[in-house]
Amino acid sequence: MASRKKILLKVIILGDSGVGKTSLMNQFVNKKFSNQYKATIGADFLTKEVMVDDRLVTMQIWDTAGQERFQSLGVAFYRGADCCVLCYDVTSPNSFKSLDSWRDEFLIQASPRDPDHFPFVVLGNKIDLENRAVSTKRAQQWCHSKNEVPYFETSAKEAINVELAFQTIARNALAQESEVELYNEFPDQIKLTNDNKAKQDACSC
Amino acid sequence: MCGDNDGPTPSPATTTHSAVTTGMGEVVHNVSYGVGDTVHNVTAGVKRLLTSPPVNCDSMVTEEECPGVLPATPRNSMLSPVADNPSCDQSPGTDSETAEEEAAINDELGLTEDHFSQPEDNFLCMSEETLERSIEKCKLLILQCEESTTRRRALVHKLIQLRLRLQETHDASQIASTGVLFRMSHQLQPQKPPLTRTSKQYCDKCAQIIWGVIHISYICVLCEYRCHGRCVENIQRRCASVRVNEDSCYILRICPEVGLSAQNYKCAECKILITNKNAWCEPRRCDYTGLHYCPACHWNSRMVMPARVIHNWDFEERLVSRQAKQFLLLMKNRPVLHMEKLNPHLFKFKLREDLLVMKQYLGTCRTAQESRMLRQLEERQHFVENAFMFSLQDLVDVNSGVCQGKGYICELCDGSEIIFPFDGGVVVCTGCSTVLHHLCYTSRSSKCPRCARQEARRKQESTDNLCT
Repeated sequence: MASRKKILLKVIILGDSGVGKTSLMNQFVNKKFSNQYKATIGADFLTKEVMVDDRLVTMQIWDTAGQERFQSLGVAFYRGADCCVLCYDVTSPNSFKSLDSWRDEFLIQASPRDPDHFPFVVLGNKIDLENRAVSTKRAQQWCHSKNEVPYFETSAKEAINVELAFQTIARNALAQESEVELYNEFPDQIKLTNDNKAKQDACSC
Repeated sequence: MCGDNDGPTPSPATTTHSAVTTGMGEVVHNVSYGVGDTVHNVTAGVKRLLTSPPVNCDSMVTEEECPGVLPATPRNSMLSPVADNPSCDQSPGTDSETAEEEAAINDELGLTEDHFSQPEDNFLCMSEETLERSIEKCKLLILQCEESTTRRRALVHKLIQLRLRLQETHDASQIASTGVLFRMSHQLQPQKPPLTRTSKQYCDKCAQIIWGVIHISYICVLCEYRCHGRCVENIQRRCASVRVNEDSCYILRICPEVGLSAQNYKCAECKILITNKNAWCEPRRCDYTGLHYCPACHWNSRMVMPARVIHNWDFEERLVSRQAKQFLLLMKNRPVLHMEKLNPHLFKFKLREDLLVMKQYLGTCRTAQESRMLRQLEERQHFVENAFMFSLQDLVDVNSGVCQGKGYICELCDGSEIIFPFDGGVVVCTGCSTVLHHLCYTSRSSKCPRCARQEARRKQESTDNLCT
């Protein structure tokens, strides 16, 4: 049992409907993009194995339906998440505004151990579009106020920054995971062999 | 960890091994002695524990309304077969509405399950195509129903469950190449020929001895189901970990017996005919499920019954079937019992004295010795996080006395009595927080021997340093 230690990172993507959550996930996992909009039903996930600092980890990326309110997914769904990705559409100020509520809801539902330091990543998607409505500065300010959340501007269509963003997500999730593991280290060990003895003997007085 | 060396014993009296271990002491033991598997188990279990949050009132309501689907991939469950994840109480009475809802959905999708899903239910043996079809069907149903209704919630849950199942089948086919077999959600790993165990092993399928040298045998890494290589194809029992991960709740009615005639005089698991007339194939009743089993599926193992504990504070071990035992063993450390809801009287009158002092003790440990105590507590994370959820193991421990491993022995008198900071008539030293009898302490000029010892050692060390 012990030998087969696989690291599984559970990543949850949240955001209003139509901001491109599914597209981002598809771009990252399958390197594909479709212009056709198809609302996600319920929740779906894809897995991808990535290397993070020469460790092979499996990312289980959960894509949620933007219309689906939180309660319908339930506490069990959010529990055990290693990283939460908040998405908004840079051409839609409303989707940016609702980041706050998505974040709060996530923290309520998942109630992570250390809410202040739980790894979030914010993605501003659709930067390939001309009609930008949310400035980079505004988004960065928001991220800054939320305890230095990493911020990326991406385009699922043009595959801009997607790989980089998910690398960061994986790294942060892994950090969170190993932090949890810190608690599992052995307690202070008591060494039964006495090293002091030799020292005392060596004392010249 | 325990209780896996009882074989298909002919009479109850010969089952010697006790399945109950004393809790906290064992935790400490595991942590300090464990190499390999044990530590790994603890580690993985704790990860789950630490990530599972306290259940507050608000989320309680939501959770209660939705069946506990815990996304568990084989990877998750492989890592933590004994992992705890506090999901709320789901006793039949409290969420009957949701349960009905789920049953209705299962019906619509052509899936049915009972407590230990019986083999004839094809949910588990489903192929990828059937699963995919069910997912599509589920999605259609979701689209058809209104938003924010219980039905929709249950449907979304089912969908998530199905998707995970699909992933599991994918993974299964991948891992299969490594020699691990997958049958009825078991992950059967071949056991190495020279079995290191001293105790005899019996096949969970045919109940005959596994001769390590002669027989090829397999063991499930999740639930410790073991069987002969020749029996693998005939496995009928579904892996207990599936039930534990997907819907961790106990049967909380005391021995819900329906009678042998209701079972058509057939074993509840393998469907072999059992009658009282045939002495070779006597019916054996499982105290947990209330069903009757044949001697091959019921080895007269003994376990503490959660229902009896909750309702009667009865810790006597009862005879259970193999499948119930495997399930109970996996469930043992899960904080799934919402005591206040299940039996408020017990909580008020009996547990208030016992549990609250224990909790308070653990609580003070946490604030006082954050770094050290918390680690020892890791298997009981739910203790410090939430006030109402208990695992069966906790209740067993309360009954058998608070963890003795963490108590103190008064250093002043030579008594072997174990004392705790919350006991009456004791003092806690402010310097080193050791616990002493109040009487001993005051009668010996109110000096703490431990502080004095530490002081002396410090002096010694400083002189040593000076010398060198």
